Amino acid sequence: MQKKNVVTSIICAAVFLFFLFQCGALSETAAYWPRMICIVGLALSTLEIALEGSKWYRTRDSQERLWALNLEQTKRGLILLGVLILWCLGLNTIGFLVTSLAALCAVALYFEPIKSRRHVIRDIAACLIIGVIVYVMFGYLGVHFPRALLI
Amino acid sequence: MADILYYFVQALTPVHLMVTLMGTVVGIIVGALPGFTATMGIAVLIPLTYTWNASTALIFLGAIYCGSMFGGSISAILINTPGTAAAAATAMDGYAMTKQGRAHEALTESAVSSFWGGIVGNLALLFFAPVMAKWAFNFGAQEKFLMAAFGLTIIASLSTKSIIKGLMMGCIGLLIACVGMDPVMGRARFTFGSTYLMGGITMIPAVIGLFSISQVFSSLKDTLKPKSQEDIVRYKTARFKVKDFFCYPITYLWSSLIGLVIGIIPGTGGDVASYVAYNTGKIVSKEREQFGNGSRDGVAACEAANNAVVGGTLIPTLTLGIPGNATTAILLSGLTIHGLTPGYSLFTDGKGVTYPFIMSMFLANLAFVLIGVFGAKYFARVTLTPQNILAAVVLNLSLIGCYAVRGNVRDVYVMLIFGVAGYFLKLYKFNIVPIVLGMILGDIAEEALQQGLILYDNDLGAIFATFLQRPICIALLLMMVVSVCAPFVMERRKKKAV
Repeated sequence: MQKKNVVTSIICAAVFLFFLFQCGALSETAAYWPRMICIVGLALSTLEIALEGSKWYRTRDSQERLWALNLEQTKRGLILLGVLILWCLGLNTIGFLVTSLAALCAVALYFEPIKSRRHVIRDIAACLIIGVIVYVMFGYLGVHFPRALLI
Repeated sequence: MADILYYFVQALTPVHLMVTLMGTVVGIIVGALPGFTATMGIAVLIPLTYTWNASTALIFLGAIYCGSMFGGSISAILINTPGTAAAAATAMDGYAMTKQGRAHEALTESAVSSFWGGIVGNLALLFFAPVMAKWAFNFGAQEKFLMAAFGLTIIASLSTKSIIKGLMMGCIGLLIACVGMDPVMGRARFTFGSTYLMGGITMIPAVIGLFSISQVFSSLKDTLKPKSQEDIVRYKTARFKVKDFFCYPITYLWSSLIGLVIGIIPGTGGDVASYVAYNTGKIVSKEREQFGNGSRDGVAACEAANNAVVGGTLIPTLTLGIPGNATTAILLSGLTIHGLTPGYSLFTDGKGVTYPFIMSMFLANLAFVLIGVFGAKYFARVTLTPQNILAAVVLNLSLIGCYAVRGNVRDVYVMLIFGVAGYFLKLYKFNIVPIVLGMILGDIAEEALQQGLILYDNDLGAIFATFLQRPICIALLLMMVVSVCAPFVMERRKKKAV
């Protein structure tokens, strides 16, 4: 875990450093509070790097992997992320309802543990019904969804 | 007393009863839907009340407010998707209970503690409103800053495993809250030329992303397993017992008082109250070691506090015309639409409208507790839905919920970014709650600090010196010391005991 902690703390330090530089472009009053936060954040990150780094140096666990997921988990995560990105992109171009229903079915079917005909039909029916109900309910509550090529 | 009874009978007329029930049900639905807040619900439904008389209209809007505060906890407990920002703290223990197959228990506790919180808030509104409103005037910039700082000390108790990592996340949350316009001069800050970012990062998409999207990623990480038969039987046989009503009387009382006090202070709200109450619970509760791992007392602390906020926020709204939060601001507009002038006169000339409204809030609390405790076993069955379908539905609700906040697709992208970030943060053992805390408290702290700097000619030392001259500040400083030290003392004691 030490190796992971060191690397994530370096990333956090980089974020604080980036925002600290950004503060330079702001007026004195606007920069006051964020600068304080960045300095504190940077100090904390440095402290964490030093503490975890020294532990890592002492234990020298060469077996520790930096990436927290295995290949299968990475694949599943990437597929879900891909569906979500396509879902977002389709909202304004294809249409809110159609994209949502397609994405719902895609998620439910891909992650279905038992791929039998019965389960597939159940998943599709559940997604279509719930998707439409949620859409209609929010529409009734006054939410105006974007309309594109389709609904 | 005779007056109170008279107004209570007025609140019990069939029309008022029906409107209270209707408002409560609508409120629960609105609260449970991610992204759809009480503010939006009341704003959408105010036009419906234009033709109603003032009393009926106010009763309806008040019932929506009460119902939505409770409703937010339902989705937080069942699917780790807080319906409102105030319910985010409830998700910590509520969802943990659901994962242990105790969703029914968590929902019952949420309804009961919300009820007690609501009752305490309403009692204060009924009997002490004018006095407490005057007290709230003593809250200056220093007190507000320390209040926010006190809120941030909660990070210490939330991150006992790695306080530095927790504090780093708190700083990230505070930085996120800086995006948008600076509160003094109104100049763009960290917007990188984007007009969208000028409005700041909206709370709801960030919270939904961090909690529910990251949860979906986590739950779909490995191959899913079918639901166990045990859970199905457990929910079928679940029964509400009278003793459930009085499980944590001490927690109900102090959490409600915390919620009430925080509610009275304008600019704060249910989200701050529930975290403060949760932190206090973690220090004083008998079940403190279970906090974060499915403690029923943890759910009780958060829910009693955020429901007591309802009465608290209404105190400055009705007595001074100062809305305690966004929801009461909309409610205030409802008052003016019906020709009522907020202020002390509401309790004298307008008492024929104000008191039945307050009385109906008690009935709204009663309505939601009945719906909550008797509906809990049916709501809990949501968790028996196959996980792949549940994940798809959570994604759909989250996405629509985020879009509904401002009708802007970019909010959905924000949710997605926060979701992925939250997933990785959890994988690398970072606590995401401090980010939410930082986002909630960042604005309050900065605004108060800037006000202080203006008052004391940019002399930070002078501001700090005044802390020791103000009684509320001293009390808050002491509370901060306790809040920071207590988790470590208890952790040490625990280690010694082992």
